Amino acid sequence: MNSSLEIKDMTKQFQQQMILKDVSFTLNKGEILSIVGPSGSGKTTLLRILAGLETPTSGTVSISGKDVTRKKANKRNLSLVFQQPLLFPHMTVKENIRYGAKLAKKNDEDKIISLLDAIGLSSYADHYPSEISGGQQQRVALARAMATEPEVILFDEPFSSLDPQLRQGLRLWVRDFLAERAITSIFVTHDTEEAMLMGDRVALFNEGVFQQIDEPKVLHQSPANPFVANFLGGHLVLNDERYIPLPSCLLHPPESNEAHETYQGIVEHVTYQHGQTIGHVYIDTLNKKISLPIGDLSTKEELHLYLPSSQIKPFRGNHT
Amino acid sequence: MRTHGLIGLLIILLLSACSGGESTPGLSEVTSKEWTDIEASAEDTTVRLFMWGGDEGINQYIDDWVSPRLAENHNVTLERVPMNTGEILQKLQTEKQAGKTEGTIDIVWINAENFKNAKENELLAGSFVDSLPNFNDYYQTDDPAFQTDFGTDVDGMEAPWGKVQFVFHYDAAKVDNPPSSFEELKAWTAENPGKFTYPNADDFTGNAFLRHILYAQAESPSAIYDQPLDEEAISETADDTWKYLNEMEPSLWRSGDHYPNTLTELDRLYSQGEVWMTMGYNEARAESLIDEGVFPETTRSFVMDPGSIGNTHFLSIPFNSTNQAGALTAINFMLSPEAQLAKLKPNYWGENTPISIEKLPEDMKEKFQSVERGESVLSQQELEESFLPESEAAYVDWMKEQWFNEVVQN
Amino acid sequence: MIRNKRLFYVLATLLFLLPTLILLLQSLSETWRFQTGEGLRFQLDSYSVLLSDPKLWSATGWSIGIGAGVLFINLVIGIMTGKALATLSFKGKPFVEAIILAPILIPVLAIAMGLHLFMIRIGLADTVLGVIIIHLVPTVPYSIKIFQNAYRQLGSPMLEQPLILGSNPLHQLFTIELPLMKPAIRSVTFLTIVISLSQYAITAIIGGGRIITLPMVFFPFLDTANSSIMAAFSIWFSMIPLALYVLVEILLLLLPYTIMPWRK
Repeated sequence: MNSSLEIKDMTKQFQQQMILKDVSFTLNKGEILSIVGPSGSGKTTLLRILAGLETPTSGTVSISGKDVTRKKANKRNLSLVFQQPLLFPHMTVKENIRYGAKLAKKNDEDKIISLLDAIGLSSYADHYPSEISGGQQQRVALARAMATEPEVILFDEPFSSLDPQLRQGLRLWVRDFLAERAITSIFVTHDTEEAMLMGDRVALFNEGVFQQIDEPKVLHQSPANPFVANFLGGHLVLNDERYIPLPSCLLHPPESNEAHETYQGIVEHVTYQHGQTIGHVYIDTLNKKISLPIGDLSTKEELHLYLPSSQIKPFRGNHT
Repeated sequence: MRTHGLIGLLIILLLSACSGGESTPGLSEVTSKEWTDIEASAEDTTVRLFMWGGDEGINQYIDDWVSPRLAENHNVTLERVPMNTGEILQKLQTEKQAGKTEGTIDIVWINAENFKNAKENELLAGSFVDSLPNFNDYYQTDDPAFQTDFGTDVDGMEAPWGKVQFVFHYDAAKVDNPPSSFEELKAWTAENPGKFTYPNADDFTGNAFLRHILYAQAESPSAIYDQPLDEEAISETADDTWKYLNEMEPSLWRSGDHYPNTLTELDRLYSQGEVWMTMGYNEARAESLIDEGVFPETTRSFVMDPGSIGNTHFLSIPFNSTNQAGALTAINFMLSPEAQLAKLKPNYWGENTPISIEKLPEDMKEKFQSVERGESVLSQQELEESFLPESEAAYVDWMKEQWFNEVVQN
Repeated sequence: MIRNKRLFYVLATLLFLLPTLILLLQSLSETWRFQTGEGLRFQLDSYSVLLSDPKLWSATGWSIGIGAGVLFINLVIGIMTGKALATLSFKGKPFVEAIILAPILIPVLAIAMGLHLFMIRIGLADTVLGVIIIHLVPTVPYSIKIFQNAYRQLGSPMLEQPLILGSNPLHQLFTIELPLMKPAIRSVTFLTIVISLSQYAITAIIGGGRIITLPMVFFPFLDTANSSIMAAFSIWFSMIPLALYVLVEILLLLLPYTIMPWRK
């Protein structure tokens, strides 16, 4: 497989602060990587370095095997879709889409028309951005990025400014759009669900390093460290070495008298999701809050959690 | 890097300061030549006359009368440049400082305080009037009015070009008998409240009006204009002056709560009929304003006892004129009887001449005497009889301060 | 909303249109003496006085030329500096911003004296270039501030987007920045021209009488009691910013992606 995008030993220091520490990864042609992490973790900086809007302190960026570290943003064969659509307000939808294509000398009328078609805005070609909705604008922004036929497209929280319903529909649409055309892309988001939905692989980013890069399923089944387990949810982290998946936690002692550990908790809140009663439980000894189905217990009630020893797993350790 | 730049700049400054040493030939070198040689060397040159340009009549006199004749008779191109005298002196001052010996100004129109400044700061080329044939032939060269300018010795550094006298204007349609003394003016104002005022002491004309009152309150006007300013000596006169003004104040326009800031404001009030009198340091100035329809046609002028102050204004040559011969030629021409006659006629400027009419040839004398200056201008005899010289320039500033304290504050 | 609009028109008429009309009327009639019961007397003398001034046309030409030069340099400096101040962050930026604004806090005349000395030494005194440079002093600070705000309003993402799409800075300037900053360009045009046009003292000193601009012909007449001449001069004076404004407006139409006013 030929690598589409390769980052090696990327470091970024800003004033005394290390924002990226020796980050390396490779994306294959057509692969979609989601990068998820808390805000302020440096994921946007990583994206901006890839796009050429900022320079790394050390390390290299290669696109299609060519080192582009020293190239300016306008000389890199990639595109970036921002949080906001950032359409040029003085140009029509069509002119917006054509803007980059013209500069890349890839201005093909048929392509523009088919892109307009793909985003479902053929009849809005001559409208101005102010005359179309936010979701439509973000679609135009995507088509505009596509029109330059870049090797890689980067997305910086592209759906976060849209309302939740619109967001859901657009996510799936973009995912299919990229998959169909086998476009290598990176999604940066702070929303775990979105990361899982969009990425072939998901990277958890925190404190300047990738905590773990894996397929969503692997990530979920075997988190590499307590941060990953906590950030994704669905696990109860017992200490720095061990955790247990929430579905393995029992509200009554295991029948077979199996070896287990017991923790006491208190129900702080009750919500209802997917037809189940979910208790938000605080475990004093671990200083942790978890959410799990609790049957008919109600707020303020105490409960005991029984954790079968066989289900408690050790963290695999950092893996990149 | 930064210090290098600074040093570089210093070197440039030093070099240019040094290069200021070599200068154009001094004025005395030029004036020592034969007059015909001076005129000959002025041919085919341009002379740049810098002067205040706020009067269309004066501008036209230069552009339409003087320039073409100077070109025809002496082959000298006269270029009039409108600039306020303050800026002219500012420019010369900086050029002096920078050691710029090749200036752009050949002649300036100047007098009074400005002349004093220019002379003290050595912004003038030097003494030249004695070399002007027209000055020697047609002017009373030892006239005190030409020897001192507001108390400053002229020393031949400026040539008298014109003279003006302070007069009051009134609308004869509204006022039958204008007052003939300052006491009568006060009485008239009391009878016609709100119909008289004067510009404040910061204004050139307003200040001159106030000096008239000082003259009037003194034992005789010469007690002021013959004496350098001595606040002790004139304190009694000053007190009488403030008393006069304060007694008059309630009957002034707007009860004296507000004084016009400039003569222009007073003129506007007069032109709109708000007040019935105005004034000015130029006995003929009403003519053109009547012509333009600004002043009513019934405007006339008057002077009062003990008299009216007049002054002379001059032409001079700056220190860094590059065409001194041309400047001398042009100044001599502007002092000529022909040029003075045209200046006296009301169609351009209508301004009085410092020339001595008795020194003129017979036919010229007649022409001067037959000039009809207009109905609003007093007769030459009346003007001469009432003429009072200017006092020392220091009185002007003294009046500014004191008037504010004694009259406005009270 | 409709009430506001009506209020706007009333105020605009009262504060802008009416004074202009009065000025026009004054320039065409003799001094007003209404309280004496006289009516308007129309005349064209004020304009014939104006047009008879032999320096009028050359002074107007100088004023337009200098104004255009000052405007052009203002646009170049304003856009470059404004963009830098809006997009870059560096140590001592507040200090730099204060320094840039300083010329409008210090009287221009005070600066002019020092600059005059300097210009004499480097040979710029009494030249058009010198006058243009001295006119930059009271104008450039405003231009920088206006463009700095304009760029800040555009926002750095909007400035990065064209770059991402492969645009070089110059292409970006003409296709994105200038079209989106038209209001700022208009403000700078008007402000710069009006300020440049009304400089009397500094033009007189630096121009040294070789460069005679309109104010040098016009300002001495402020001393006249003849309101008609004043009004005629003022009308003539106001034509210059208007003419240059129209010129800039035409140039703006040449920018790419402009909707022609006769379309839509």
